[in-house]
Amino acid sequence: MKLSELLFLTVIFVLLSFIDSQLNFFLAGFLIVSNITYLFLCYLCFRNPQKINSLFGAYIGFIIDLHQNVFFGLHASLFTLTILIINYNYFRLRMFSTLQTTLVFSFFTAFFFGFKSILLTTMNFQYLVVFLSFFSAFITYLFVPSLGKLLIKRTKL
Amino acid sequence: MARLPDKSSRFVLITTFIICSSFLFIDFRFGAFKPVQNFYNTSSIFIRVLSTEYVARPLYRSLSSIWDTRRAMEENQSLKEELNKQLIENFIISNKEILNTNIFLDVINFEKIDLKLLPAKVVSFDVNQYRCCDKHRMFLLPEASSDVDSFKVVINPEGIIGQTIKVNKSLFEVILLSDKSHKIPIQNENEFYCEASGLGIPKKIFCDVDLTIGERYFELDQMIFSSGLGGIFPKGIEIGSIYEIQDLSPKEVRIIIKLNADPLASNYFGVLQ
Repeated sequence: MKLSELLFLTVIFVLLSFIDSQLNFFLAGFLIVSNITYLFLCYLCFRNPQKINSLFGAYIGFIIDLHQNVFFGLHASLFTLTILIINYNYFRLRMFSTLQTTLVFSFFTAFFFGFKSILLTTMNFQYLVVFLSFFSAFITYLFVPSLGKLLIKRTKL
Repeated sequence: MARLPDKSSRFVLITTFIICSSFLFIDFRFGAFKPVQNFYNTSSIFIRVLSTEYVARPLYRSLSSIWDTRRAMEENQSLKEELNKQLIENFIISNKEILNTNIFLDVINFEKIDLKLLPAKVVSFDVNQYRCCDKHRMFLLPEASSDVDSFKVVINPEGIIGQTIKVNKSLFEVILLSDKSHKIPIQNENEFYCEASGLGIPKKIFCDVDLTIGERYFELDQMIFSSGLGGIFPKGIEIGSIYEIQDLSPKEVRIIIKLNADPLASNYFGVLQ
């Protein structure tokens, strides 16, 4: 990956993280969480696993950890794990239909959010939010490919 | 063993994950990366404050100052116009008695009835021509949609400016007192009457006096009033004062009168209807 592409993607991920935090501020009352950043990473990794590898996931994860001021390595390890799983099941996922892929990534999102919640909101962990995050991710992922195509139109990712 | 899509080995994938997890564990357990996070936070806050204080705010201030200046100028202009209107009304009020007794103005009770003063704004005035040449004209636009006929008196806060010439329903021309082709009947306190013409010089009119007709009493700086004989201008309004007396011949002198009212003093004028 070129340095310009790396910087471009870094900016996009930081922006998406910011949008996520802003959306979560409004959606908190409805027990819904926004995970556009994570779904975007899943989409990119699934689209181009050669470039979006575990090192990139770790890098972006650390950046988001710093940006969101959470435990250092939280996003990095979860992003790396996700990329690892997608890489290990890449050809299997390729065989899936769009709906199945969306379901898988929604499941990943629920797991991601659940794990994050355990570490970040230990005293206030809610299964309902984790459960609803699956559905919200399902709906969100319907728009993520369009968003991804729009954002990375000029790069060769 | 599952086949991987890229050339990177499983070792890299798993090692990266293990390293990240180790980082997470160390930070979670010991808070080892707090200084890094604090550094990042302070840096981002510093950059944010710096960009706000030295880039965004000055830019916003300059933009808003441009906007404020424009608004202040517009407000200043409107206040000036209001002040001019008020000054014209004051002029009318200060000359109320003269106007009330004047046969040409149908004003009996000035306070109770309408002032019959139509405010008008300058739309075109060739100042260069006014300063250089004989033709002293300006075009005014009345504020109210009212017909302005010809031969109406135009005043500003300093006094009489000229009279109207109808152009169309919404526009009229004003021939200034100093215009070469303009004439105004005048008098002084000593019952000296004369028909003064425009000199073609700003704020100057003149009057040629034949000394053979009778004895005349006039001197420099003597006040000159409108006589009201022409049927257009009201009687007894102060026009100006004698500026110069030139001897044209042993039996004839030219009195040059300096007018009180300067048409350049304001953009607003009143038309006495």
